[in-house]
Amino acid sequence: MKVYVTRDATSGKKAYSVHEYESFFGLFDGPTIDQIRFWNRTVMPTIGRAVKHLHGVPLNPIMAEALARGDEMHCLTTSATNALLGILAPAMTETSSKADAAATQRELAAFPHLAMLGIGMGASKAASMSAEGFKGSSVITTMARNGVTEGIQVSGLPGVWFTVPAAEIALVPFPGNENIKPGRDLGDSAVQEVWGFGAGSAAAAAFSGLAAEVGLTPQGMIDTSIRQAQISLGKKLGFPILQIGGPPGLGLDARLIVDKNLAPRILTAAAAFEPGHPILGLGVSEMPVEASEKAVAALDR
Amino acid sequence: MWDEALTRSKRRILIICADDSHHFEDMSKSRRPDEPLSPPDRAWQMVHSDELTWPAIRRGLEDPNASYGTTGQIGIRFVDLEVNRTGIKITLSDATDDLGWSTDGHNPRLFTTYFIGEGGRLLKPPDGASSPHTRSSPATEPGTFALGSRPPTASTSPGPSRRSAKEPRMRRLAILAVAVVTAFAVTLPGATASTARITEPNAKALAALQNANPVLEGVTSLRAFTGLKGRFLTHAGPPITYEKMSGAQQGATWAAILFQGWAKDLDGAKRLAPHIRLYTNHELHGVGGMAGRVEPVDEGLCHPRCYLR
Repeated sequence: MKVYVTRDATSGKKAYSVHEYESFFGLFDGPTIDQIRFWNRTVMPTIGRAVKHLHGVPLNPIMAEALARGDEMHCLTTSATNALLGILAPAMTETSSKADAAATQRELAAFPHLAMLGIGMGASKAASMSAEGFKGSSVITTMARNGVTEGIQVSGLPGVWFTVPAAEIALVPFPGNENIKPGRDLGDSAVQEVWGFGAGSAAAAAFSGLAAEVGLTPQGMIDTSIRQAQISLGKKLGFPILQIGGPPGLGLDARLIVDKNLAPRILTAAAAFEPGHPILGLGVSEMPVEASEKAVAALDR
Repeated sequence: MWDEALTRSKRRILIICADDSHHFEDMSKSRRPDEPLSPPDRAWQMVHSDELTWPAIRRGLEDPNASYGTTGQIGIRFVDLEVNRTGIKITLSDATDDLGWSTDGHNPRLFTTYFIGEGGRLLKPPDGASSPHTRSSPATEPGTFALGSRPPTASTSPGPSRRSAKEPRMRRLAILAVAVVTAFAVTLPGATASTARITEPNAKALAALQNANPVLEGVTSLRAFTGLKGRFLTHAGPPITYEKMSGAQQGATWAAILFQGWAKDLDGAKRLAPHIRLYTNHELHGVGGMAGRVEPVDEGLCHPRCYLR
């Protein structure tokens, strides 16, 4: 399977990430595998050639502008995808066949709400890797869920998981999905929250349709960002959000989480409990405080 | 000039303050380079009025006891301005102290009240102020405002004096107030991050997060990225075995096996699934949304419709 490769130019750390396919929600039927095949045969190679032609695409400017345009870069990446498409489209036409370039441009234009998530996750992963390994640091560098357990890693103890049972999502099912049993919290995409996106940047999308899709009011979206900042050590400089008059919080701190007893929030998609269903809906979940308690106990040991 | 006019005319002169403002939309610069900036909020008239109606405001403007002009010292809150035969009394509200969000020089805590009599004579020096007042230098006396008054015999009884044996202390307080307010201005609600806990390692980790500059470099296969051989799959989240996986991750595993061509059909995929080597994405320096199922190679040998059997 083709993966995006993202490199943090400051630290040199490299991370891979993937497009979020239908199969990742538990589907395994014909059209699902056709989608994977189409992306791996056509879309990913075309993007790859265009990126190479441009000698890499810096992602911070795209994502900072996306926040200003109402993305929170986890559940909503429409503006970021459109910006990326604008940057890549001419290079696609130069480096790929007419058919491949057109098909890729059409795919990105047709599904903009998701396409940039895969790339943004690679950016957040590379960034969070650069924060790993500072002895004694309680800054959260990994936050991930597998649908059964979920957990965090902190900078001071790289590679060590502190896990708890996966939380239930405060879910708003898409119409028609009300009677499907939802699965528990799932996915590596919480890496977006680690780097200040998602719940941290929810205020950016306060006045978008996403607010209703995750079950919050515009004020609730703004409050979510403020809450996340209260358990963050600093600010995501260079990523201002109009609705909170400045950058969102950055550097979720396990000690602050324990001291204030405030669980980090995650704006997330939900999959069904059983395999064979498409995306169920969107909602808000929390990484339980116990995960941070375990990390703090290990740091103090 | 005001002293001259007031002294010679022997009458009351109504002073109306207004700013000649004509830059309302772009207050940062004038449209013409040679034109000085004329933003609003530099001088205005305060009127005591019981109701907000045109006649009431107009009555207030015409009554010298109910109106005064001010030149932009935002934050002065008159509680009472009393002019009678015995003198002038100004009472400032405590709220005056609460505003410090102008520049240091304009801090209301530093305001000094002067009472000027006939011929520009200083009737009552402000406590602690040593130099005589001159109205020609308002820039150096930011708190100054002159109350030209008649009769010149009027004694003054300045209201609760806000200055000035304590001047140095007040100035310190003022600077503190400015500092606090500045901090507030920068630390807007959304960004109320705690700084109490920033130890050195945490500061370094935070700086790394802040300074990260991710660049999308290209596209490759997972096998090429990891260098791992043989059949393996990755998954999202902390480590887990196939048997304990959630429904979405199991379904994604079948899809992955079919896409890779490791099994001919769905039943075969389900039989094979427990035997595939698993890694978390994170341990291989990667991430995948939801199930996060990533396979090593781009495309398998499975017939395009094999999953339908």
